[in-house]
Amino acid sequence: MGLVVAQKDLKLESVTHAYDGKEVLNNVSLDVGVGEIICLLGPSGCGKSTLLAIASGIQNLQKGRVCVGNRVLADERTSLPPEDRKIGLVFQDYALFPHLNVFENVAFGIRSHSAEQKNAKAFGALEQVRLSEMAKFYPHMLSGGEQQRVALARALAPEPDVMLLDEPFASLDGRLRDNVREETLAILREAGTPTVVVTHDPREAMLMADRIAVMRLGRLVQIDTPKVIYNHPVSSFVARLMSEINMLKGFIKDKSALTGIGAVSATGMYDGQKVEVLIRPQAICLREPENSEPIAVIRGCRVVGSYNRVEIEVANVESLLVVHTAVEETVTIGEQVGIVLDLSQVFVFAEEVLD
Amino acid sequence: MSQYNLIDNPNSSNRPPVINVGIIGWLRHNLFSSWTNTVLTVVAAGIIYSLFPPLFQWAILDADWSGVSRESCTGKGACWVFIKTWFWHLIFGLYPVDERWRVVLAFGILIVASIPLFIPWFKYKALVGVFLLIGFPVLAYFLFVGDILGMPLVETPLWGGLFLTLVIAGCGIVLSLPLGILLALARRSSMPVLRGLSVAFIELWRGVPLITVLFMASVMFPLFLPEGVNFDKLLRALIAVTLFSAAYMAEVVRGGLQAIPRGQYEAAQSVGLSYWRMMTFVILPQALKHVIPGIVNSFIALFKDTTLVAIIGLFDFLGMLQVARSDPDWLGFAPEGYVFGGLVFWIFCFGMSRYSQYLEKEFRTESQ
Repeated sequence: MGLVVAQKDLKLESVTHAYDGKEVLNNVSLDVGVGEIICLLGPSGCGKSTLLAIASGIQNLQKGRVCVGNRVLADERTSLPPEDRKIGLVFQDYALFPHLNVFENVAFGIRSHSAEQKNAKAFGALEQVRLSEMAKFYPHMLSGGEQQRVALARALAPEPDVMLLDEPFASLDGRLRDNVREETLAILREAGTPTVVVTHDPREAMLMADRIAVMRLGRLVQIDTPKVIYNHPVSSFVARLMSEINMLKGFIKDKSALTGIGAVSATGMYDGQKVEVLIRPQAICLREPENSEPIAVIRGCRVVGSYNRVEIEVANVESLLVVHTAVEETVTIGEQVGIVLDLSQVFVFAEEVLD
Repeated sequence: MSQYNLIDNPNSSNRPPVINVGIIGWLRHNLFSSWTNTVLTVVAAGIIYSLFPPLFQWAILDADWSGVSRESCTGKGACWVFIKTWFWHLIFGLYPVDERWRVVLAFGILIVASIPLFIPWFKYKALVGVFLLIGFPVLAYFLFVGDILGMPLVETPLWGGLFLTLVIAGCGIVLSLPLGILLALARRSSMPVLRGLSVAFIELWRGVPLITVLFMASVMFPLFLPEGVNFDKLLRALIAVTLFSAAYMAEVVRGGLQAIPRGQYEAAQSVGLSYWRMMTFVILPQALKHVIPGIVNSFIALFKDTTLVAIIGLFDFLGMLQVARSDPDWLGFAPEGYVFGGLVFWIFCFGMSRYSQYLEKEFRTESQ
């Protein structure tokens, strides 16, 4: 259990930030509990990396407050320099020190009374990421995944109060990325340090996070467990961010949203209101056409690993709709099918007025 | 079986044609690979042929090597007797003959103490380094100046020759690097006053020729001093050369600092390093490694610029050569003097250049 010490939470309170008069963060508050992993999720430019930079002290705080436990790291008047914050950072490009070997990279930040203690801690951290055999290697001699682990060990070795990871897996690909993510997650769980991970990949966020904080244009739009975020998105933006999704425009009539593929019940809206109806690809079921159902024509089909991605054309709907079906099901292009909706994965939101 | 015969039999016609391998191949590949290359090769060969045999004839074959006076010079080729006669003056200047052992001893200590730095398994390099940078200058100062432990005082106007050149260049090199680093850091500082001062300093020194600086140091500067206060001329020249060179060094180092990605600074801060620790252990080692060629370039320039101190009446190596060639007994031997002088400077500068390549190799950790 070596490195379990940190038992403080990270609090960001009403952080507001602007670059050259352009607002990048607007009143963002976030509380990361002890042992909790939060993923900041959002498209690029939504302010998530800036929030991380402010928490770490690399970027100066303009308005709001950053606390760890009862210690104020920064408010409008005071600001601790990054080196005194006890915050571990992992960068997208790792930023390992190229002139130092793996061991020296990791040992650098450790403050101990004796050299033996320092060495022991550094070796402990390397052991934790299973790299103790590569202690004497230089960063350029390691693979991408190994470099990422060194970066993680370097950040963990000084026993920080908080860990911040900025797109930590972005430069890895495919299978390696999955493996490294699993390992990283296990190590972070064992360390028990409150952790914020910035990502733009919803799958990654759902695989790692206790809670996901969705950001858009400098604001926090929803923060909750992956399950809630996925199943009950608060806006069309969140629904679209979390997965591939079909969007239909429609309007409300008699507490239902009318669209090209029929009516979907919707409450709390007025008649004639313009709405967006979002339908997850797996919420559309294909079957033998029956009289009352809308009829669709299969226009394309691709096997994508664990499911088939089928494109269908529906009368009165402009674009093709995407449907995920089980791999066992065979579909023929040009075939006519009936469609049924699983309403738990269909969301209706008032149409957004984009600014 | 027959298909193996081709490989088993080295005399078969399967060997590459003669014109593509060996010396002929090398020539074809490197000297005559295209029309332009062939023309360049011929022209270069012509120049070499017209230049080197006469030079060789003059400097070696027809040269006079032995003798003690001008009478030994036959006038057919170079007369190296001139250099022989003046040799020790060229090395020590007017340093008293009986005290020259002190200079020899100091440089001897320097060389012996430097040897361990080149031995890979030697463990106390840092200790030796500290001695070379702090202990040795103090020791050398007392040896050179004297007036202690029964060694008579040798005033700086008597210093000269290669000895003086090395003192000025050595001090300039050792002092200008740290000063240049500090200036470079100040120039990149977030504190406006510090930054402004550094920019002003660098631009001022870079904006004036070294000759002007030396003149100011030797002629103008004393005018500002109160009556009776005297300031050693050599010291003034040393300070001038050092500050001048530091300004250039600062810009070289700044170039290196700019090549370090921002992530390195952020990573260093996030593992808890203070500004000075970050600079000392993370940023500068990388930045300086990038600019070793530039730094050594400045060192070489500084080494050669020391010859300008002759203008303010210090007799460095080149200054002594001027004295030697104006000796009424040896008029007309300037070519020998300058060829010898050029050779000595070349040896030192080439040495520095080789050393910088060694350092680059030594510090190379990234794959290249």
